[in-house]
Amino acid sequence: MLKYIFRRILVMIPVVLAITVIVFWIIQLPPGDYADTHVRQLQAEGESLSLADQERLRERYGLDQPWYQQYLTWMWGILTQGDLGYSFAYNRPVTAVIDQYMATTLIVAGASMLFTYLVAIPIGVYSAVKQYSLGDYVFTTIGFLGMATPNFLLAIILMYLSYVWFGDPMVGLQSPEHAGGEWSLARVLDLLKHLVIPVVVIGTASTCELIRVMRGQMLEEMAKPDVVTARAKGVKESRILRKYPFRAAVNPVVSTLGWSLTGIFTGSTITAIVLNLPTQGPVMLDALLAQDMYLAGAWLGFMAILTVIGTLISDILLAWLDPRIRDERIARS
Amino acid sequence: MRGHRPSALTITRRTTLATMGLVLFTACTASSGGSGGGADVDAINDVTAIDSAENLKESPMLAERVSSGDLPPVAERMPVLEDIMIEPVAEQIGVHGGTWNFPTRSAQEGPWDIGKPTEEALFRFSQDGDTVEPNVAKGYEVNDDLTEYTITLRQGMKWSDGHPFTSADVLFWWEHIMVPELFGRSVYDAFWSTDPETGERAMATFAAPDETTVTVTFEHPRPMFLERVAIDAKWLFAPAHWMETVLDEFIGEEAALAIAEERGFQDLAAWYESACYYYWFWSDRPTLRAWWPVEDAGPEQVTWERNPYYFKTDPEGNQLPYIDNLSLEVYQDPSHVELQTLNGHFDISPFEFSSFTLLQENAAQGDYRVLQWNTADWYSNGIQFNMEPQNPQLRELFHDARFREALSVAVDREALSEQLTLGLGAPQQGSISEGMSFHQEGWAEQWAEYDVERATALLDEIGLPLTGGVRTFADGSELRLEITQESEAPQAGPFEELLKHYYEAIGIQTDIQLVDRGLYGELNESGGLQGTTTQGMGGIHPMLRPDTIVPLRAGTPWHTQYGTWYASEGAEGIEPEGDIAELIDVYRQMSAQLERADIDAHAEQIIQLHQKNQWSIGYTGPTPRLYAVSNNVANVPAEAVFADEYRDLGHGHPAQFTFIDPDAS
Repeated sequence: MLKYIFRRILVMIPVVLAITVIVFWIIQLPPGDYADTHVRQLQAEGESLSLADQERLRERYGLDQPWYQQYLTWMWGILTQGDLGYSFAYNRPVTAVIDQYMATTLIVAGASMLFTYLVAIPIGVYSAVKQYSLGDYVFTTIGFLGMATPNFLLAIILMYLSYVWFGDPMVGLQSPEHAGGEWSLARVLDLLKHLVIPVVVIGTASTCELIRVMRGQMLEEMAKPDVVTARAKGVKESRILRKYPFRAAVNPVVSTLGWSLTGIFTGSTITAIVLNLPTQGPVMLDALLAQDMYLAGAWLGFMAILTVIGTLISDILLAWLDPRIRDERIARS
Repeated sequence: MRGHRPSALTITRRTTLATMGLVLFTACTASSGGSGGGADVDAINDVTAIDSAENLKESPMLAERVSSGDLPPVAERMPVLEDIMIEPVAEQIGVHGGTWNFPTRSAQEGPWDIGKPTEEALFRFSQDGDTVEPNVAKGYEVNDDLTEYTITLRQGMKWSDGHPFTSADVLFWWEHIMVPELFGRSVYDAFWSTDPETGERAMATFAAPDETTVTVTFEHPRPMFLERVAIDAKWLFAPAHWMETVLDEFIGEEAALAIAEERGFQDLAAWYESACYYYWFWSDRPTLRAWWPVEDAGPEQVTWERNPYYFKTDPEGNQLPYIDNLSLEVYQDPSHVELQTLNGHFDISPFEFSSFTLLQENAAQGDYRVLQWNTADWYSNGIQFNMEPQNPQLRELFHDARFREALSVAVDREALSEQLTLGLGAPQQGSISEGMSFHQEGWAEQWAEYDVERATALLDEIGLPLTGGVRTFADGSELRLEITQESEAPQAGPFEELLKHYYEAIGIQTDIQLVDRGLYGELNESGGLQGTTTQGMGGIHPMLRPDTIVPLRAGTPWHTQYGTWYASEGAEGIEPEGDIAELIDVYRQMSAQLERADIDAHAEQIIQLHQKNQWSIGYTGPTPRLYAVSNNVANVPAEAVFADEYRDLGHGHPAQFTFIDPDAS
């Protein structure tokens, strides 16, 4: 098993490197560079830079070099010093920018993932066990509605309702009087209050899919001989459910868990903009638009790594969960 | 105790101004400074000086700190009595206290959102925009041939940490920040004088004969130096005692780099740009502004607190600002500001014109009023043609006044005005509005009549054959006009679609291209544009902000190639001919004038060249900039000119904004 994991990690390295090259190449592909964007931004603010000052700016950012040279310098910094480069727009190291938004991003993503699983798995099991019941239909309908409604629209609707009912549209993650203050019970409650809308909006998007997957898997597993045998032997129904079909049914859920890692960072960009959430998504979008190369590159590279790692984690989890897969792989390696 | 004198000399702001003379703008502007109160306010403001230290009053918030021994008494914190600046109020004497909820973009994206309103310039534009008046400075004198300016500072004035503010701080900025170009900008235009014979430029020299005097000496006459300073180098000073603890010149490169890294910068250039240019975000850097941040800029919210050493009072001797705190709240999308304004949360929020209906409809519910500030723009919806497009046939067309006239009269301005501006942007040609300096009679009506027949006749006359409703070049090759617009622009799309509709009705095939900001910038700089609806024309005076009107450097779509040519002294770009070359000539002559009247006469010539040629076509007149102001806030001028030169909201003098009931803020 260890040998298997080790080999997988070795293969990951060239894959990630190749992805970063492509990513970097694509980011600089559109005409213009960060200096152009910056100069336009200054113009919009009534400032102007002389041509010489612009050239100096380019030189400072290293934008006067060809892209592969910029890439190699950047990669060298990452490999030798763990330095992810410098964000032009923020005038700070990329790590500092990512750091700044990491906590809020993790809070929102974690809470909405938890929401998804806590809602979807029980409902999926319930609708399988009580197939074609009223409850099954109701949940399935709601689930499909959640999936079919664009996130940003749902966010706007919920903000509107919150505004009409409570007089506060719940924009952002913190009320201004709490932002930046000391952590206290009041601040945590305030945060939880503001988390409701984002969690529901981001969570419901994937809930439906999970419900359907769980339901289908459960139905299939419940007809399997092991379940029938257990039932014939008089094992309690709840125990049968937990021990046999459920374990097999979460299989596909777990195998996609790894992919949702990337969703944590960018899956909710539009929602985050609509709700004014200080998370990574909007920062990333701006970086791409402004050709803030190292920030955008670090991001996309990061996501590539997460996807690759996520796949690995899923494989390991699956092997642990399902002996058949484990044995097969061990046999192969 | 510092020496504030018992029998205060009554030097008023007004007499200082009067002795300075040199009234700058002969023509008058539309709004008379916007104080809405009339005679009553004039009576309140009719105060010449604070007579005694006992009349100085401070915010209860500071009084507490004084009684606990944290702060010296107010009289010791402010300049000597006769040097205190008395800020006239716009409506009424205010009340100390309250928190101003202030929407802003992030510090990186919109540093000026808070930068402009809180700016304290050495000299600022007066309320009517006609002159500059001393602000941080107390006054100035200039010799007859405009080569030596003597600037007087206020005695006993202090930085926000209590350290004296003196001429050394001005000198420090010049010698250690501007001249070494620490913040990535070349030494500003303001500080150069031009040899009228050879055209060679010479840099100014600074000296500080005593603590409150700075002299700036030029080799050649430098007219309009203070106006240029008010625009280019608003803060001509820096806290020397603080800068000396961070600049590598004083502490060595290693220590300076360590500080830069500690503050999240990788190199000194980036750190210095932040410390010397966008400096207002650092909580430890002393300032002269009315408020300063209690912590460094963060992702969501930052509180700014009143500066206990602020140098202005209202006419009754209450130390300004009235408002104790600012709560800067970062938004990602302007719609959040709308939402929170309708909800009554933000006290003063700026808006583009596109929010007009929404704001008006909800004004009662959100308990705010909507103020409309005029701009110095020539139009709100219009088009510029790059006079040097890559296609030589198009170039010929763009240079043909008949073609521009045809595209101008082919459009129904009445309809556009209703559809795009709710009728507030008048259906007129791009021109200088009535009441502004250099307004020209009849310009607004030029080529402004909706007349398709005339347009058709003009295009026929040029010789663009019409086949099947589509015009081609005379040689039969395809004629397509590309209109480029930034996709981020508010309301991008509808106007361009309407233009396409009208242009195609007279047979000019039109393509619309929405591009992102970076690409737009690149296209513009490289001369790759044809027509564009991005970027406007305007400015308060061709001498002060010539950028859009005279091709002096790249950036403005219609003349960008000529601007490049001028800025690179002929090395790049394309040399202009005819009236465009004339623009540059007149501008050069204008720069050599010493008398105000002569400068204005040349400026008038420049404007008339624009009227004659109409290089940019405006379809709807300028629309106002909007401010939604809580009904609990007073003293925000109801009318004023919104211009970058005037520092946007800063022109309303936010230090004297006040809550009517601070407890309800």
